[in-house]
Amino acid sequence: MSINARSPRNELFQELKPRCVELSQLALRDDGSSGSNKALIQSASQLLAILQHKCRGLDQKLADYVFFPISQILKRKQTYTDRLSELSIKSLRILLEYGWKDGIALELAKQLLMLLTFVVGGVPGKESAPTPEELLVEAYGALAALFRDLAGTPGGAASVVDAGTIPALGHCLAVVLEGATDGPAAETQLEALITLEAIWSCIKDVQALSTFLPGTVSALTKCLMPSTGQRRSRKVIIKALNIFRYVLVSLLGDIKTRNIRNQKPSASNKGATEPQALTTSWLKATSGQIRLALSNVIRLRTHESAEARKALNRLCITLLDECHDTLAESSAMLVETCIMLTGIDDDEDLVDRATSLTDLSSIYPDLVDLIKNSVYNWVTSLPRIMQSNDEAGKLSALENLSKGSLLLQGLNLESPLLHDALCDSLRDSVSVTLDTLPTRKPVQDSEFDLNSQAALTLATENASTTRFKPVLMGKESQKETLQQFASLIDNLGSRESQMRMASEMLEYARSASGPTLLASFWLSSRILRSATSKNRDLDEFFESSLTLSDEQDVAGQELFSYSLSLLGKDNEASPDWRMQTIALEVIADTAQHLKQDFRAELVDTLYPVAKLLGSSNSSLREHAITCLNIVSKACGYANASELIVENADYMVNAISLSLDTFDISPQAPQVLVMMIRLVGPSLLLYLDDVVRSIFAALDNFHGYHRLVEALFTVLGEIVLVGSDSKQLRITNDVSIAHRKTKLHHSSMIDIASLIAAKSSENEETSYPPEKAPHTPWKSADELLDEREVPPPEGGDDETTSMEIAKAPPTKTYVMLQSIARLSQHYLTHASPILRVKLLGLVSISSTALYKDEDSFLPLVNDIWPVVIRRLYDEESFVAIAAANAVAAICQSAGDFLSTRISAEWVELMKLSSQSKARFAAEKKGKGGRGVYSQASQVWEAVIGLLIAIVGNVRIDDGMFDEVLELLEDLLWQREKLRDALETVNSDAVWLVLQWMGKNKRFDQPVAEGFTFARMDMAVLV
Amino acid sequence: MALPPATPAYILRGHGSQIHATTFVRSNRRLMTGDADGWIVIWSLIIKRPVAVWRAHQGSILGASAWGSDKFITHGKDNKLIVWKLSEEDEASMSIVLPVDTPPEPRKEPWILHILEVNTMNFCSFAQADLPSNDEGSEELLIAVPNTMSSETVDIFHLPSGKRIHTIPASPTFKGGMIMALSLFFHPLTSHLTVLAGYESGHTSVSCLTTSWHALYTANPHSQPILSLDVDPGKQFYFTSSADAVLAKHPISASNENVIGPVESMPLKVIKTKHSGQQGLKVRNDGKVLATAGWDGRVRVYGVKGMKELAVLKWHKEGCYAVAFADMDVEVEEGKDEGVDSQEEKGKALASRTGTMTVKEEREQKAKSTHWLAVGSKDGKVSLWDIY
Repeated sequence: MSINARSPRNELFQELKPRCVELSQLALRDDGSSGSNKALIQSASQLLAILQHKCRGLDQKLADYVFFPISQILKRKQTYTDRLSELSIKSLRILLEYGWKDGIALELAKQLLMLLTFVVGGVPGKESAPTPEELLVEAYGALAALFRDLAGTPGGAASVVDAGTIPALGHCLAVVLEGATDGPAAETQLEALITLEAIWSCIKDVQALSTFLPGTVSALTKCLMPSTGQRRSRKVIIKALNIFRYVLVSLLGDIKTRNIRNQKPSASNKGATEPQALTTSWLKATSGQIRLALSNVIRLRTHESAEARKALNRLCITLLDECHDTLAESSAMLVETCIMLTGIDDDEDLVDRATSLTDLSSIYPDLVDLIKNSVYNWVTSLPRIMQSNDEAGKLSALENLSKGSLLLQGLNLESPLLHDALCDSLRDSVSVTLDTLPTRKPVQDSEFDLNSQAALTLATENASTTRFKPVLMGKESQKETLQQFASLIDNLGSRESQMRMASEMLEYARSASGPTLLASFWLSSRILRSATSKNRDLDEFFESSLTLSDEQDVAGQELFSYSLSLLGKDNEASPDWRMQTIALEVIADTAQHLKQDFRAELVDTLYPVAKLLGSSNSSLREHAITCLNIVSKACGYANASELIVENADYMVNAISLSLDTFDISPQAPQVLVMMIRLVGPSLLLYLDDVVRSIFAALDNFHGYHRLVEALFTVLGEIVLVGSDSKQLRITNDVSIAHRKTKLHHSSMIDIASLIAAKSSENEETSYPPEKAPHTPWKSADELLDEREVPPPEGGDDETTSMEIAKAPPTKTYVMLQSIARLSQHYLTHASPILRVKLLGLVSISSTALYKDEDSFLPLVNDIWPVVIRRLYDEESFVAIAAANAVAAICQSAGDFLSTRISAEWVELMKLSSQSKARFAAEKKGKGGRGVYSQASQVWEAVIGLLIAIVGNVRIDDGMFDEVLELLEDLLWQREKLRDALETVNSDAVWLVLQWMGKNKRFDQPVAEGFTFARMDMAVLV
Repeated sequence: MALPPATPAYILRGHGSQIHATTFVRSNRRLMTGDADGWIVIWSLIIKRPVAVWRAHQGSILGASAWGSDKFITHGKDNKLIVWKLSEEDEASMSIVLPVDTPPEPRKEPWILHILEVNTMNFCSFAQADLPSNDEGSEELLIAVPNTMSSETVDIFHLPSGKRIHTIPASPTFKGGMIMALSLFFHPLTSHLTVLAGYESGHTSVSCLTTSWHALYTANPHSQPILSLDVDPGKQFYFTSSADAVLAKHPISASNENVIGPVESMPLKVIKTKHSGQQGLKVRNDGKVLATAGWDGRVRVYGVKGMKELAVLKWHKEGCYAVAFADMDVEVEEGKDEGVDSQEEKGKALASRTGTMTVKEEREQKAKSTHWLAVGSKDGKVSLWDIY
């Protein structure tokens, strides 16, 4: 020991000495008064301060020296609950931790052991107030330091377990264990645990340890058992787990128990005389007990703290490793826990990572079986769990399974048996989660209303959703379960096994029915999707033969074609709409996978998807829209409308073919209407055969109102779009105006200009004299040539010349015409809505078609009788539509109708006066609805009709008068009406107005020598 | 045996007027159609869309076919026979707006290689035969069309020179009227140039060139003008159809030694179909089935051997004018299979493996190998049938 070292020690001694002396004097003089107590506390705290400050300089001798006054204080104490004892225990702890760390006198140690035990646990047999927490912490710390010192002292470990001390030790241990489990605060518990650790590491004697084992284990288990009453702090749990691990390994490690296990039963009998506790039977009983304890402890695997779970994982791994043989009974349990906790230390660096189950299983082959077993158990129990309502349970089950299968994959342990079991289990799990389908109402054709469906909304609103709403497990609460399921699917094993599973599922789906069909189809699609997304990077860099991407493509194709066949089926044919939604998802996936190449697939795909836009099921519609959005994005179209516009030809083809086979689903007309709206008139050119098919369908299904209506909606749309298109191309541009014009009265100016024109004409016609022609106007050769030109040969040339004379009507024209003509057969249809629709169609088409009179007038001739009858329809809104239609025909056909109108005149007038009367009655009655009342609307329509007739059709004077009479009271307020009537006979109109006194007043002219009759007088006469 | 009625696989819409010619080109990947207004449309069978549209003639198209891989021959009523050059790469630059949609600006036409001024008084389409070339590289072709002056004789032109090299005189034994249908080939056995002709009178004749033109065979099974004829791929017999209801099978005798003069002989088989007016007739290149396009809007498929009606294809509401079979490569592939050794097999396996790689290729393969039957009709539509 050098001078340098000695001198600080001396310094410290010099410093400590006065305090110690002072303290011991005070202690000796202590009379229990508060004054001396105060002085003691002060002195002790001064000592403590020095100790705390200079603790590193302490050695055994100094410690002994300092201990003396402290022991004085402690000796006098009956209870250790006050400030003074706390100070002394603190000082003691410092002494133990630093002073006696290289060795402690064994006797002293024994005394201290007892003392500290009393401090902590109280004197046995004496009721005392509970020790304050701070004191407890210090005392535990001191105890722990004591045992560490003992462990460092030669012979210390042995002295602890000698016959004299062992009761004290036992008591101490009991106290500590009690503190660990029932300590008032987390801190004390933690300290107690540290103390426990120190005790265990101090005791080397196996006998003693084995005696203490049951108590320790049970206390630790109690500490680790998750209980509702008491929540242990995270630190305590981690510490306890670590100690538990240490305890078990130290006593039951394979190396320790090797001898015992190797003992022959006879050998143990022979040695029975000796106090040999460690026998095979003991081991057996102990490991059984431990198993029980472990089964409680591993419940911590669901602990929310990752640290705790990590500690548990270490415990399990260590036990599996070190106590592999001893605790073989519990290894299944441990393995299970380990699998569940796989990946818990993934965030740590590779170097820091402890042994993993994977590593262990390569050492102990029996673990492999255990792993397999537990995964298999999970697999088989999955459907049962999925059936329950416990979402958390499902979550963890799925998570475990996915970890398990990942582990198996890592270990190359995929067995066909497991694979099959997994297949079945997954399928069953999914199918149990399927809700039983709500019984669907039998599909009535009232379910679809053409105008409210998504087919038409696509045309207008630009829905841009590109994510499918989950169909399976779609509830909010199942969201996480679904996610977990997805990750399970992701972890289903290598790509190869995923592929295999996907195709097996598909194969199963082909022959299955009901929920399992749905489940396997869904799984197949999911698995494939996961495989695709997982291996995308791989495929980019490696040859296809290496990455199995071929197989994947083949499987994908199979799934795709199966989905397509599903969609191709009639809506009613497939039992579950969810199948179709999954099929849509598959198609969207395929599109995303193929990108632009998918355009070629659109031939077969687009219509089946678009068809679903007209489905009566809203989620199916949403899915279809989403699918279209995804597909259009994948194929490089701006939006779904563009997709449809660009590929209208495919759709037309599909619709036409389906109409041809009389596959009359309500969707086809809807999709057609949508397309016509989106694409516009240019589509009509390709629709002629579709229109023909619609006609055929109408012929065959004329009894089905809704269908007929749907089909006529299409026709109406065609007419609407076609009527304002260029493609109508009416060739003769003669504007045909049927509107009557006023008779032109020739005035004097006209006559004058006429005469002037005549005279100028005379001047022009005086031709200058002309020379006689010297040559013939045409040469003889030319004439001969002309003769020789053969007459146009064959019928063909004649037809061509005819064609030149009159171009055939365009396709669109013919189409519109035939639609209008067809409508006559359905105007008597029982459905009033259809009748209205048709009348609207007639009026639109007649305004569109009238320019080509040669074909239009025959059409009018055809449809007239039916249309005019509709005026007397009992449904007033049909009658209104009919009036409008007739008015439109009048405007387009004009005088052509004059005989037809006059034939109808009597009836027409009757109708008009009736409606007028009804209107008047309605007006008079109370609570009338004004212009919105039916009577008023009918009347308005009739007025419009009469205006159209008078304005465009030639009628005789008697009829005109009747109209005038009927409408006289409206004349003065309706400009249009007056115009129309005045055009025909303005005098009559004037007269009527005059009669009613609605004309402007004429001032009676004044002239000398004349008396004018008064105007109204004259009229009256 | 009650199968549901066959439905077409696809309808190609877009011609504005009736279709007079259909033919599969570019090893079944393209379909060429020509209509009465002179429009030619080349359709891709993979995407079922036009890849090239142009107006080849001012008059109706009478016939259209391919010459080699990138040349197309069209024959129009405007007295022209034009050879166009349109390789697959050039297709991208062509307009694809269909004839129904009349576009504002004039269309781009493919490169014209040759124009022959020919007679188109009658509705007879040309016939073509590859000249057995002596040196590779130069492609020579013989074209048979009715004679410019008299419609009863046949002119044979040589391409690329554009010269008329033969004129076959009208048969002295019968008064045939105009020639309505032609076929031209080198007989496989004698390698004599052989011409089959169908006449307005319903006669048909086989002529062959040895030192001069001999009529080998004449027959008159039809009471109406012959509308179409096609020859069996083995060149052993041929079929004629006419405006009447008769379908006739005629022999093509190989040798002319025993035939001194043109003899009126009997056809091998005559069947009365009861459907008059069969404008188009084609024999599939495997020689197993033939199809007729009828004015009643139906296409009938017959077995070549027994002349038995196998199928009636009904979709068009108006008369069908043209029919075409996709070429079948069966025999070629079978021939290959026999000579395959293991190494080649390996290569093939590899090829098939790469074949599965892209879906696009797969589709192309599918389009190529499908047994298409294309029918062109008066309504301006072409229906595609996947049959036999």
